[in-house]
Amino acid sequence: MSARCVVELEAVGTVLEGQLIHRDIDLCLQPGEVLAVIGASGAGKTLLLREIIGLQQPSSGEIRVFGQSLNSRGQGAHTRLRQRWGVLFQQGALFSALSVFDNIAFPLRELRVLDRRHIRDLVQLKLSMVGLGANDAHKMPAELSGGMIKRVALARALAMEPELLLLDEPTAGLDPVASERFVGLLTGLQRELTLTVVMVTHDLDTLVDACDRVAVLADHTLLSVGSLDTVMAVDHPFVHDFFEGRRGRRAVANRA
Amino acid sequence: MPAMSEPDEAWSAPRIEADRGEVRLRGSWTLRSMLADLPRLKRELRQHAAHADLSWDLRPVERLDSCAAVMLWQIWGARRPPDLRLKADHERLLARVAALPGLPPARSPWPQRVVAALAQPSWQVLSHGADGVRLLGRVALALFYLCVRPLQMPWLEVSANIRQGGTRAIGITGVVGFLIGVVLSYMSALELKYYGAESFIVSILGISIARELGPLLAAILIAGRSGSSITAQLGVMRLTQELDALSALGVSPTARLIVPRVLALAVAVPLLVVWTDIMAMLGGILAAALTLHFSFAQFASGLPASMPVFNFWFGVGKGAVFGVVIALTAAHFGMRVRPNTQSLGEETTNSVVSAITLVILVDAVFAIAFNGVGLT
Repeated sequence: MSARCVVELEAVGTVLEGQLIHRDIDLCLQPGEVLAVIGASGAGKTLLLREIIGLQQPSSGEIRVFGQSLNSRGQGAHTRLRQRWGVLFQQGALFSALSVFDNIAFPLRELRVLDRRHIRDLVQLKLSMVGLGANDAHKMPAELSGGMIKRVALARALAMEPELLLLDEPTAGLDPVASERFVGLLTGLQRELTLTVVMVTHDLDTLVDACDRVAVLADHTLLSVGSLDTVMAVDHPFVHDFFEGRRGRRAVANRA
Repeated sequence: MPAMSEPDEAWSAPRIEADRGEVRLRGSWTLRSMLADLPRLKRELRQHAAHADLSWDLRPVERLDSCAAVMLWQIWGARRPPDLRLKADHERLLARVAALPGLPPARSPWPQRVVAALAQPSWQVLSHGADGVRLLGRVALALFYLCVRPLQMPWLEVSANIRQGGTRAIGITGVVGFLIGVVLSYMSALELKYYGAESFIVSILGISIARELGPLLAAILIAGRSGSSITAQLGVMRLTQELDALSALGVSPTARLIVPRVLALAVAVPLLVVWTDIMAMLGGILAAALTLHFSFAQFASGLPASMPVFNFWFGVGKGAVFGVVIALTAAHFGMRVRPNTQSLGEETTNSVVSAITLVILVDAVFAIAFNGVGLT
């Protein structure tokens, strides 16, 4: 085991209800790296993300996060491990009964050490980090637009000062302008906080703008992991379709 | 410090060094590294911060996250110490903290709150009334529309709801009815025996079960069962915008979702009343046979004479009214669910409580209106 990897997957295989989803997936994520996982719909990208954060058990193989296996440790160590990552779910998964402020304050209050003033200022700081104003703090999730939901969810994911950020389709459902702003925000925060990021995405612009490496999930396994150019050179129908469609060519041609 | 035992947590504990008018912070100042002894760190920093002329050296700090930055800023009294040195990227973070705007108060000033609190109940009653009237109107219009165009009638929905709200409730209503029959018969038998009036058991059971207990038991059970499920279904459909999708497809949610449920319960509850009557009578007869040595044949011959058949039809008719009341109440609360989980739970509770209360209220109205009818 190399101590360097933030996230390490070793021969991970998943069989769900008799259906093969993944086999032999190996992956090592370096600190400070932004990795995008791409793949066709239903290829098991989100499932892979869920396995990394321990919401789902892989059928075989081993997953280590910060060098620690998810299934071999006690409750306390598990909780501490979970405090080191933040997750942005596809639909935001905000607590609908809590206001924006309480959503972000929730993980901080769970620690039961920080006082109210400290939490109040921290929440405000997170809100300003994701570009939301103090006026948004008392809104309920149902009153937010799609872009704002993502921002609040990101603020909540960042509440515990994570070292690893997992994003499931961060720009899905956003209009191009909102999506570009959100990616800009993400890359800015990633640099500022030196985060390691794994994201599942369909969006080529996100891929080009934000990611250091790309992992292609197809035929149940990781076809290729490498820079955008390496991955684009892979000869596989999915890769051709993905990058050589009209939108794909435009996004890649536009990169600076 | 349990967190220290993590083998590869890449941080060292936060340390404070103070000498000759200078405070120096070392190590890693992050949420996780401070967590283990936050109170002590805060206390020490506060002691140092009390001396205004101290100089602060944060350059040896390995990591500074926003949690620590906010803490330091608060300890410094929300201003920069005059002599502060720190790394450039930490400087940026501190600037962010310093630039935080104040949070607008979540609560309005107290006179407004008092007025709002006083107005709240009457406003609630008004809005429930208005919504209720609107719902009744919509249901009436939808029924009228469906009568004019019978082909549009959602028969499948109606039958599915009869199955869901009626057929599936047969077990519970039967058990409860039977047991109540046993209890009623058993308790009355003791008194009747004392006065030597055993033969009255037939009319006591007959009238009380067919006229009151059967309909009420069935209605209360259905209010709990179907009432909650209707409210939750409609509520979730509102949360997930399925109601909007239906409307956008040109299908009226009232005609498609509420009317079938109202019709289904109007059919299913009277049938359940008959079933509950039968089971309660059986329970009563069984208990009477055991305590008073009454035979089934005695009941069969005595019942028509001592219980006017009006009581039976009265009970069944009440059942139909109860069914409509339950379905409408549940639909009313379902349509009031606001898009959050808390509201879904609250409205489901309100729905069941209101449906049961309304059923008993309507029953009381019936009892007064039909006072003396069918009792002699």
